[in-house]
Amino acid sequence: MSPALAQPARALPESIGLDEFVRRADADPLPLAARYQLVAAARVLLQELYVHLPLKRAMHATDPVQALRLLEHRLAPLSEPQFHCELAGVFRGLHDLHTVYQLPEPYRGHVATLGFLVERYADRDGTPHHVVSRIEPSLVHAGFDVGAELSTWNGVPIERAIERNAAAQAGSHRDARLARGLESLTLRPLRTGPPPDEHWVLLSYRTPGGRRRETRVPWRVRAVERHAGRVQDPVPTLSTGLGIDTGSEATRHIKRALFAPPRRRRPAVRTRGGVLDHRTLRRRGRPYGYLRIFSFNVASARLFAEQVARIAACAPAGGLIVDIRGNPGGHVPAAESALQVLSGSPVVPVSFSLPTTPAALELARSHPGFGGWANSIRDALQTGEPYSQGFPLTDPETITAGLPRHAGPKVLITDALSYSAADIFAAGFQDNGLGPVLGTAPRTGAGGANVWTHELLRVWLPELLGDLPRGAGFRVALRRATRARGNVDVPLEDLGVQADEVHRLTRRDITGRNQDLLAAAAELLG
Amino acid sequence: MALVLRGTVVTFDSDHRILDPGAVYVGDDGRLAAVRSAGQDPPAGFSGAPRIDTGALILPGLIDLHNHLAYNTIPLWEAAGVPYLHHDRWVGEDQPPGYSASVTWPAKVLLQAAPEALIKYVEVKALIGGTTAIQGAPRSTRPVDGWLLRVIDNEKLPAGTDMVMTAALQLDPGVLRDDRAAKLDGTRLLIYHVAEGRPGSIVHREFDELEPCLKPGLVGVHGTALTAPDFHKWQQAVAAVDAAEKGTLVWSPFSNYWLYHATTDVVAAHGKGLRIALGSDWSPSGTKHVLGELKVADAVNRHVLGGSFSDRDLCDMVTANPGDALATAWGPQVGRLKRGSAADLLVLERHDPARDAYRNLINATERHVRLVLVRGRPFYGTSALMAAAGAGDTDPLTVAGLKRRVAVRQPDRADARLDWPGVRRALRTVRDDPVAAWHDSQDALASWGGPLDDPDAPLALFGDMPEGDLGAFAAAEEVPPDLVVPRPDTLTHDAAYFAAVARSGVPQLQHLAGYYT
Repeated sequence: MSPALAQPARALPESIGLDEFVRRADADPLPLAARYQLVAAARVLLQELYVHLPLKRAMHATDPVQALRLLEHRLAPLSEPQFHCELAGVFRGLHDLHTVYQLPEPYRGHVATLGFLVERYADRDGTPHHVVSRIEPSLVHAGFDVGAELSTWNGVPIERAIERNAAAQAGSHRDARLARGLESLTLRPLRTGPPPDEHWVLLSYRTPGGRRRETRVPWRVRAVERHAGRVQDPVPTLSTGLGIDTGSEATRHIKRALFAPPRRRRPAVRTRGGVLDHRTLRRRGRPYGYLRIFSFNVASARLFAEQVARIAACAPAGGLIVDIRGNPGGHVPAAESALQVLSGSPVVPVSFSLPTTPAALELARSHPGFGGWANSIRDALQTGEPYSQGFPLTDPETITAGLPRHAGPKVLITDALSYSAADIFAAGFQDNGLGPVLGTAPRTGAGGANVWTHELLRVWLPELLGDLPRGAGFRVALRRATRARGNVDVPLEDLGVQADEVHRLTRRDITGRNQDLLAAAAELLG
Repeated sequence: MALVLRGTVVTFDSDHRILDPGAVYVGDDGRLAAVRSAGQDPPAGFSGAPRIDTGALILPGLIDLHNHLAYNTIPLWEAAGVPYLHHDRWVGEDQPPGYSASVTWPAKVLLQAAPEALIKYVEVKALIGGTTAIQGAPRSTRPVDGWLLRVIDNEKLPAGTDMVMTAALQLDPGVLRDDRAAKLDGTRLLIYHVAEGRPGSIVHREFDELEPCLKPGLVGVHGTALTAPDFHKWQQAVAAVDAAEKGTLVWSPFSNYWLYHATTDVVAAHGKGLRIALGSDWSPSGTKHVLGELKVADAVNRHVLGGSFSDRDLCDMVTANPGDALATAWGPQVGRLKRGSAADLLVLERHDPARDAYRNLINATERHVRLVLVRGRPFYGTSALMAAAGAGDTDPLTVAGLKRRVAVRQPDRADARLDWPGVRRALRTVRDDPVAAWHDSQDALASWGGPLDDPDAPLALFGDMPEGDLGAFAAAEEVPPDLVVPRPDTLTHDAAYFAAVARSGVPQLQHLAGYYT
């Protein structure tokens, strides 16, 4: 007999129903001309400035430029949601979370959420379990709480539901897609992808007490961040030094707002206090420093590095555990500067290359900061190289001059959601021998690029890139990152950083405070 | 508001008529409804309009066709390595005072930490010299159409479209050939730096690369390394497309002599049929404004070029000639006073009644500028004329010892909030602690995840000149901890400026001080 269907008694705070949000969004559709404008702009951007185009064509057998041409031919009959879905789909096919279509108003800065998180662990025999690991208190009902184990999702076995979700994600490799498939069960950034089709989900679960139940939880929509009275994207429109998955940064903000302990909700999420946390751990009587870097989305590399240096300086002699799980990236110079102060000796930064297209050449010639790249792009006309010569984005040693360095033992914890600037951080950690990399997945998220907005590129290429309608936009991987030292010239995109050791998360990790994971890390420190 | 200005009207029209006394009728739409002898009846709708008897010269506002606004708070850069061979040489100057430390960094910080104050300051500086239209807008996150002046790069005349392309850094030959040349279809302009360096230097090749763009609408800046055959080729190519058209060359003699100890062969260019316009370039190697540059041109004309140009020719270089060049994109809008033209006006004291209007303009200093209107609105002038012209919300300032008023804040613009004291204050704040100001601005930029064309979005400006060696800081969006931002360059050609000119020892520039004594 089927158990009675429950549902939360209260709605998620500070949110509106998905149905209402969609109704508002669809009430004022983009004119057809605006759709053409967007598709044409996307084509120019991908063809002329997307640095990974050759790689993606080879690795994923995809031709986004042709896909956009085809889309251009069948724009008129598409409904508003279909249009956004199709255009976002072309970008999703790149398997590159940097390079995204950003839906117009009112999608900016909004995330659809169910108000809880699902995480996965496996028994020793490999049997997977999917449990509620965090839940907003107002949604707790009928034993649906932290520790509840899910069995079906809208009537689909949970494992299969995640696989299906994963297939719809833009992650570079299977682990990354699976991680995102899991996260997107309950969190969907609406700026970079279409809203969920269903307005609620039907869940079968076993309560922490072992009772089987069913519930219906509605999708709700929350604004990520407000600034000057307006809903904003949580990632700067203007920065030239970004390497970030904007969707994950948006969901990070929502996770923090819903699930962080009250004291952690207070600092603004993009302040240094909002991206860093630290404490001292004890394992087998020995103290270790624990540094959590939630994001590199900060304004100043120097100030960020100062903070990291201060924390590292207080770490016990037993060693420092640096944890960048779920870090969506951010300001690349900040990541590289942080790495610098965590290293006893100078760290060789990753290199960045531009595509060798005419537009990249025009950019390199008009933007004074790109002078170094111009010659090799010009020469590519003869050499046929698809990428320019690579140069570091900056010299983190200069940025961190005078700051104390942490020469003690370290271990880095990564996962398949550690992305872009976090990939770069992990690569630097490994390539420069700072210590072992302990992954909860075999590889990091595998985003290796410096990403710019269409709006920022327009400042420098006004003749090539035009206005976009209603706050719609694009972000594009402009400069690709390749590794240093022993891995010189190895790209990070699609490959990521291979963990030296893998620790599969346990139930205690997920529902507790990562005890087993941290014990494994401490073990590596000796 | 509608307004009638009476005085000696120096029209710069096709017949170069001077109406004495004459009257210009400024319409509500910011255009001239009529330009007539004072004795003639006013046009319809002007019988009740306020009338100002200026007792002065009324001229088209001056046009500066070559500038780099972003850098105009920086004082003259007394570079160690002069004369340089060409424009790529001084960029790498690291002998103190090095280029990036003296020019790039201070400008860069001001552009991001005090963008509104910076632009307004340099606009006021130009207004003080009678400028009403200026080229050389910084790149920006949203178009700044000019809070006070008409900014040529961003101006959307006549049909709401920006028809002016610019490039201070050289474009790839392929881009010139495949893109810019195709766009020069007789409706657009390309204002392009070409062959800036000593004759015979390698930068001459930039002219060869520019060949596909030798068409009507090309405005070449500098051309100091070009020769008579080059000018001939240029004009022939333009005339082959449209026999009535002329190529335009922008001459910046002060900057040329300051950096290269040589200047453009404007006599040859003029002789081959090119149109010559003046540009004051930028304050690190230029004059304060184009009224100052006019005096340098006059001095060079008299002492180096054997007086090849008449006074009227020289005055055309800051009015009719650049106006005609811009007409390709805008139609006949600026630089000449006639019905339908933009009401960009300069009222200038006839300080030497014994001499003609053109010599009065050439010899005029900041002290002689009485009123400046842009789009028919008074922005700068004496208290009496500003009040008579209906200027509200003005602030006092002292210019060359004289009291003037300036209208910096515009109540109808949400993005132009600073008044003149606010401008000075904002610049001082950056100078007092440039590193803190930079971090504040970067925090503001990093906090903004909204659209950049939102009026509340932080405005960021980017210089249009080469940066030189900025070390590791720039790419990391950081600044050097020992960064120094100098006092804003003074608004007038003053003793400190002439002292720097004297220290340079460049003989062709030493005549300039004489105009100001």
